Amino acid sequence: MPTQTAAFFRVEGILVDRGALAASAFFASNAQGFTERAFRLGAVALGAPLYGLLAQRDPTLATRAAYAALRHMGEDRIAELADEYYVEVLSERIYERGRELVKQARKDKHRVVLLSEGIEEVVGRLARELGVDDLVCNHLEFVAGETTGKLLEPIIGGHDGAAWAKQFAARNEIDLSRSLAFAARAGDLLLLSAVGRPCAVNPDFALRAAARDADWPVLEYR
Amino acid sequence: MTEPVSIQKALSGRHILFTGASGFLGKVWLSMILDKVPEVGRIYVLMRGKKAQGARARFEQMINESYAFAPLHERHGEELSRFLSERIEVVSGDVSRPGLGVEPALAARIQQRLDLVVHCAGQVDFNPELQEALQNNVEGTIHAAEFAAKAKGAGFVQVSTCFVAGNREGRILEQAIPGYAPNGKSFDVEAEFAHLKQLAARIDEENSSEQALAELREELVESVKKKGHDPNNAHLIDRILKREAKARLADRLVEAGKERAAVWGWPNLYTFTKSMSESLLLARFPELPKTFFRPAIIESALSFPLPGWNEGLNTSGPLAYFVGTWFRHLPARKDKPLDVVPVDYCCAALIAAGAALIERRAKPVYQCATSDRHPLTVGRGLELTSLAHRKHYRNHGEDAIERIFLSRWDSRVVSDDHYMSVDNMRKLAQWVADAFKEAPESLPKRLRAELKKLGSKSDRIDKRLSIVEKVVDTYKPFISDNRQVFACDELVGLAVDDPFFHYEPRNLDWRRYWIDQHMPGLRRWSFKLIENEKIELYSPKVPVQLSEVPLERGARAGASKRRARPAQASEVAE
Repeated sequence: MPTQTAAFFRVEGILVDRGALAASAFFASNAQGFTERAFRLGAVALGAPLYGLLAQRDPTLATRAAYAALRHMGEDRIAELADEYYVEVLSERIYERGRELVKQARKDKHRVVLLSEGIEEVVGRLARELGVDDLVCNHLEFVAGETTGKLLEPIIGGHDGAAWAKQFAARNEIDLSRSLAFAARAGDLLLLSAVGRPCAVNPDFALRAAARDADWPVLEYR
Repeated sequence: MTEPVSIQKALSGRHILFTGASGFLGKVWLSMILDKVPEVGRIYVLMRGKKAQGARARFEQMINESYAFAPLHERHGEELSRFLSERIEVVSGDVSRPGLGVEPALAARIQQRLDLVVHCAGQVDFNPELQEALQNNVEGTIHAAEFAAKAKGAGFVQVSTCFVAGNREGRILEQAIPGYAPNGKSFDVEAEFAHLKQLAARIDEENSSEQALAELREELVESVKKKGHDPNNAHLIDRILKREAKARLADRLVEAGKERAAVWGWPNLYTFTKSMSESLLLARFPELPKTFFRPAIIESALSFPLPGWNEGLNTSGPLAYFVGTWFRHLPARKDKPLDVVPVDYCCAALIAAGAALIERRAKPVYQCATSDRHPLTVGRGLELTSLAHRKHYRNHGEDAIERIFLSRWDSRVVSDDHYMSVDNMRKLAQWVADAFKEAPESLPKRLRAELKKLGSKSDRIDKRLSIVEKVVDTYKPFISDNRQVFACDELVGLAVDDPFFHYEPRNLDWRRYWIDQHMPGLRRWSFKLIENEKIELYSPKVPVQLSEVPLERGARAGASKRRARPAQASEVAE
């Protein structure tokens, strides 16, 4: 019989207002050398509309596309830029209300789990700062000290949040019916449906409609 | 399975003669052994007195001013003077002199109780004057070995360098080959040593001959005349003559050394003379229990005496400095291992090698390198250097130019013939300087004046680039030539009971070391030398003053009493 409860937080839109594409653009604009920067930024710019189009239909592919521009970038640069990106960009954009939600969840003895389409190098710091229990995020593939631009499986960001949450619950004896989930995009509908206490936060159009139909609470603080 | 060497047991109460204590490696070795193995017997520190300062005063100054000894000051406070007086005896001497220049009665007293000689002294400039290199590196080693041989049964650790391998590619094994030359030709070390001494003497003689001086005088008179000075001013001419003759002699001695090193396949005189020392030790002292300890490129400390501690300008120092300026294109081989070792890693291994030699369990050669087990390539080193500069300029840049532009001005490894190579940039700077200085008369006067100013600026850039060119040329063997991998199996395989002394380069996190320790260390202690700024000195609460006569550790068990020594040279592990 599961004894614990969890609070699942989608990072993007709930805790911070920056997604994978913003991080990728930051990395690209700080690549080694001016020519490389121009090419990579061009690749991100070209990928941006694709990302926008795919975000609703196939978020997994959209997340993949967001990081493709980092192909052949060195591991050291990625790590250092991730640090810089976190300190200079992301940490300035953490929603205070989001931080409070995490705090409250911890206070209520929920196991706090962050789900993010971001890469470990970036969101790892956020997880440490918020003091959460688990972080589920993407991992870049590295070969001989360079990233291939591919993400390692399983890719976080798709519609499979619910399946993942169920597996996680089974592994850790979590009672999903008493657990919470906070999400901002329609891509996380299944995740929200899988828990007993879902909450739509700063929802996009589709999620707002679904939340209204399902009578889920909606929080707005963006 | 053999028992691991117990560092404390092997060194407790042992008496060691140490040369080269004032060097970068020497300071850390001395500080580390005193800090980590306080039960060591007496350490005889051979030091050269300077003009107005005796050896002991020089030693005290070193202990009081160098951060290398900060851990000792912090641990012992006002008791440090006593602690050191009980363990250190400063011996006035000079490795370049027979008997190490030690007064004979004192030498006999030391030899009576000596267990180990760690010979670390030497000339570390890559291309010094031939005479100096012979005296300090070759004769110095022979003198130290003779000293050790007279102390029956003492072991001898020769601190050499991995780069004695010379211009060779591939994996370099931990082997000491008598009469070794990188070009594979038959090398008679005794004959070469005699030849080099003669060569240096001949150059000296030729340079100071009356004819040479007369020719130089004539040249100087002409040059003085051209500059508009009085050519009949004998005092002026004599003064310049003296200076010029000395400079020419130095240049010729440097060139002769470089040429001779190149003949046999060594990249510079430093590695040539270090290799000769090894060969001479093998030839002349077959019975002396010895081990060759060969570090690769020794750089900033990882943690001891404190993270990032550095001194002087090591290999990566000047290059790292220029990479932080507007200079961008470094001619080098991206995939070549840079083979850097933190100084404390190196010293811990050196102490372990000494302990193993005392126990007669040392291998003939230990290579202290990283290229074999955990390589850092030149390309990665440059990237980490750029990233460290970026971090520094973004957070501490003096102005917007540094914070916004210089921080993003990453350097790249390029081939020698790249269109932006230092050579081509110099040519461009020269062309700009000439063109601007000789702007057409038809241009407005003010514009010509401005162009002239820009021309002078280009001159300065040209001068700066010529320094960069020299630095790149000097360090070429380490960043461009010879893709070498130095095996370090013997050192990794040297089992010791204390993990602090076990050598394992795989434990190094290059990124964190380079960005958080090495580069800030260079910035704090080394870059200032290039910028002619004052170096930060340590300032202890209570300065050390050694007692006039070394103190005995009377009641301390095991100390000061010579311990039974294991058997002879033939038992040194092969």
